[in-house]
Amino acid sequence: MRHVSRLIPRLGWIIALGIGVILPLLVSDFDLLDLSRVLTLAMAVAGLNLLVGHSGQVSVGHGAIFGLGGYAAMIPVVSFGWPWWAGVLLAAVLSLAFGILLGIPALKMGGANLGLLTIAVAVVFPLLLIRFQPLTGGTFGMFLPSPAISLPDSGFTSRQLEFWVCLLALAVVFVALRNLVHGRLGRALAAVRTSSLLAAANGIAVNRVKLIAFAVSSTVAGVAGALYALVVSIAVPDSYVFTFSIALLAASVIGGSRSWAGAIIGAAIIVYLPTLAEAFVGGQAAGNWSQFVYAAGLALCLIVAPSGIAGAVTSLLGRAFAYAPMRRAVVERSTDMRTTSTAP
Amino acid sequence: MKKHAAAAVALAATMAILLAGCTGRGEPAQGASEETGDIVIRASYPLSGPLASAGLSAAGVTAYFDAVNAAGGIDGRQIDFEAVDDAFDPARQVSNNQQFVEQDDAIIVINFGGISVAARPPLNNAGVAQIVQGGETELSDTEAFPFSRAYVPDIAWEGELQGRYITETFPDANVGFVGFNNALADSQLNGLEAGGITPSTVIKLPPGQADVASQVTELQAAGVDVLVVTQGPPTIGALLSYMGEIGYHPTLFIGSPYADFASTVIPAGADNVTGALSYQWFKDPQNPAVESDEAIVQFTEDMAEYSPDGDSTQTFTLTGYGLASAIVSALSEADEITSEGFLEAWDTVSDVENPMLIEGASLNGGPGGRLVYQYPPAHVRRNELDPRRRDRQRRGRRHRRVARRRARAGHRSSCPVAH
Repeated sequence: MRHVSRLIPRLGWIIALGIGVILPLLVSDFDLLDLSRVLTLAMAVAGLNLLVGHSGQVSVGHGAIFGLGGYAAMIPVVSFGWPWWAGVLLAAVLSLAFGILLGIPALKMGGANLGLLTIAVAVVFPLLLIRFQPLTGGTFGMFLPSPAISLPDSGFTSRQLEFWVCLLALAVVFVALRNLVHGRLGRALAAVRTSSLLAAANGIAVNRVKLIAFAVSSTVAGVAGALYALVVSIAVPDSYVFTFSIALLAASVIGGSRSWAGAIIGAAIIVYLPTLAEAFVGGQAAGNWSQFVYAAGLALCLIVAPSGIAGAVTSLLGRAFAYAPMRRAVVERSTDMRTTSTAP
Repeated sequence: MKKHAAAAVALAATMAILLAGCTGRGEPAQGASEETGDIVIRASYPLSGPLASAGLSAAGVTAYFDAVNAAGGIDGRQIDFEAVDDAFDPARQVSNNQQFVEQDDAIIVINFGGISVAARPPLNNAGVAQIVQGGETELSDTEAFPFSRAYVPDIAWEGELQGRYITETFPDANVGFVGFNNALADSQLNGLEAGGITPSTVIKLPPGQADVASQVTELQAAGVDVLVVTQGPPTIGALLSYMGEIGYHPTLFIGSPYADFASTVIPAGADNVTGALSYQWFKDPQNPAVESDEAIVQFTEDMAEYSPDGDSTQTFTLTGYGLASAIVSALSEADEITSEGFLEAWDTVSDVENPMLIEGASLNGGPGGRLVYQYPPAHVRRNELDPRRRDRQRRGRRHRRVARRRARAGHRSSCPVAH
């Protein structure tokens, strides 16, 4: 029975991956663009989940690190003709270095300083992009004259290939993060999240563990940003404003910051909720009302499902199918214990 | 483990919801013109977000197209128009544009602002006409992007005119500049430089900033006595009213995109803009002087009938209305209703009237693919509202010297014409 219950989630993920693999053969290129955006954003949100949900830290600057990855990939690809994968690798290296460089002083200062420093990064990043115009293209940013991820003679469109690349990257990221969380580091992170003092007393190098989580999270966000920029073919300062960082954090919380599936749900909300809100309110005369619906939707999620949508569904399904037998089992066990304890 | 199973179910449900809304590969475009005979035009505007004021244009475009449809369309063909929100997010604009091309089969796509510069390649690769409502110089590059055109004039031209005027009229001026932190400001500064003016103080602010006290102090401390401002609401109103509050009165040059009652005069207070200078090429629906103008009356009626939720008092709404009129003018002249046919007609438009243009101006195809080149004379709105302000200003030593020079040279009441 235990074996089956282990198999179900794995089977779920395998089916999801299978659907993902055949999806580009079924849906239009336009939908693939938005779905690829969901996959790349899910990657960034998953990185944030490692930080927020598993290590108990907050970053309000992941939008900027996402943007750093985007520019790190676009500049060599657009300006120097590098292949796209080399741009993604460079983005990974730079965002890892940035995570370490930002993390060391922030964690040394302790307290809420990591969160505060990342706010500064998120605010300054678009201004720096404009300032370094010769490299970044200034306010107009960088744009690809034609899609970077393509195989001309393969018979597949760029959108199909982009989706597959993003799906593969997301799968690798999910597996890597899952293994990280379930291993030794994951236990250390859990201890740090529960109580830093307790963790230190148990021999965990608290700052080092936090730094590793932040650096890994940054790297994942950087790679995600690189793929996102390559998919939408542009990297513009207006894409990486402060509110985008907030949106990523909101997606992590709303999707469920301790659930990998929640990362996909959160990313889908970023991409699709504004469009749905616009359709609901009624298009062009709606103006900022669509943003109001967006905000109200987010607030509703937080009130109704404080542990995120994935958490809420988990608990609902748990209540429906599992809790009753579990409670019976607990009652039975406690009865057994009472019987045992009262026995002579 | 059961928790993981439930999470997998949640994920599967999300995927099912997402995929239910997707379009299948190979399905025909929903608005395919071959099927309906309609002319499909789509727009991506910032209907929400920091530049939502510009998104008001969409209501004007809708009103004009609906009025044309009600009158029988273009050669009997109806215009199928829809505007969607991009919140000034480049990724959403790219996504919207792809939807227009792939799903809606649009032949013309309308975009707004500087983010459209990066959005040009996909539309050009698809061979779909892109009309941008933006004054950035980069949008004039029709050689590299043959399917992209900009409607409003290049702000660099206006900057050059301002530069020339300041050089001639205030030769010793200490010029300051306040603009957006985007390419519009860069284009205008290039124009000012071409007109002989390099501002001593340049301040660039993001859209939507309302606290500008420190910037005003910086300008005053730098001794700026001629200030060129091209900023939108709420910044421009806050800037000018604070300057009025502290008694700082440099000569003001307000950029044409925001030189109107709704954006500037009302938020800043009439007293604080009295004596301000501005080049104009379009009418202001709130200006009492054009209240009985035939085109404005028609615009107000069309808005009331076809776009009653839109705000007909805003210049951005009128700009959208004028843009739609320009598109209809070109489509009416086009040999064939395709993206190529439309652009060919757009480039060869000649002396065409447009409801938003001030008297004496007309649309003409020309270099850079733009249609508006003229800044007809006698539209310097100097001292229009309060003559006493002029006298106060002239008490200044520099202005007395300028006044003497102008008196010797003979007063020129008109502004130079760009082309």
